[in-house]
Amino acid sequence: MNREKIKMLILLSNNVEEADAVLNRKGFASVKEKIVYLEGMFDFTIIGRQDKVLSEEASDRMDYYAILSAILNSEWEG
Amino acid sequence: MILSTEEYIQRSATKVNNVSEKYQLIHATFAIEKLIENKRKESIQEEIAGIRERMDAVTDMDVLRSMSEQIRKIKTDPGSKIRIVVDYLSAIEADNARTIRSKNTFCICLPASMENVRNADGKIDFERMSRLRQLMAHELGHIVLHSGVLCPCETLSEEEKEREADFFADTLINLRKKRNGEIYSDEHFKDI
Repeated sequence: MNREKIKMLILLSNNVEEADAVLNRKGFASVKEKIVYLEGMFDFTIIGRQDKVLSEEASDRMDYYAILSAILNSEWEG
Repeated sequence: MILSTEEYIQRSATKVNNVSEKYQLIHATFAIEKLIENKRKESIQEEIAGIRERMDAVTDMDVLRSMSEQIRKIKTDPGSKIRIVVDYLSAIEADNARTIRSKNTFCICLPASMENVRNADGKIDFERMSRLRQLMAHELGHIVLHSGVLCPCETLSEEEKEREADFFADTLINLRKKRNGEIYSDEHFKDI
């Protein structure tokens, strides 16, 4: 699946789980890789991060889903 | 089932109340959106004043209409309207939060496990609500202090930013408590 189609499908997702399912088809090895891929595709910035978890993986996972949520929510801008 | 008008209105009010319970410090969220909007207005006022000044010397109505349209476009540019949205995600673990800016939307992501502030018995879990308010106030602090839309972005370490957001959250919540204290202790309040 090409990059443009992936972007389109992500933006048309109804929720973060659907958007994640699109990215899963690319077969990324880690959540970090998914974040890097999103960075190359969308414009977003992490402004705040309250992290009470110890593992880096869990923290990345929260970043990842929050990024997807922001991307999808920004699509509703007027 | 056919509802009477009264039942329909009661249900509607309850629905609004139930949703509003999920959003803490929404007054502050709205206030921040207003502050950002006011700042934007200030910044475009000069541009608009310049166009209006030039309009005085113009007599051609088509040119005037086009200048007026130009002002309208500046005022209503949807790309400059900042929104703050709150989303509860199951991927966010309890007592964690994220705020991400994408285009003109600030998305505050909070733990889905903390979304409902009531226990199974229907009573408010004040401890959970207090933690949720703290999370929300902290994230609002990042938007105000560290996003660059209201305050100039300083080069701060992550640790300093966290300290500032904590201080902002404590101050905001204390001011709210003080205000609530004033309102709820007043005997007029029971009639509001």
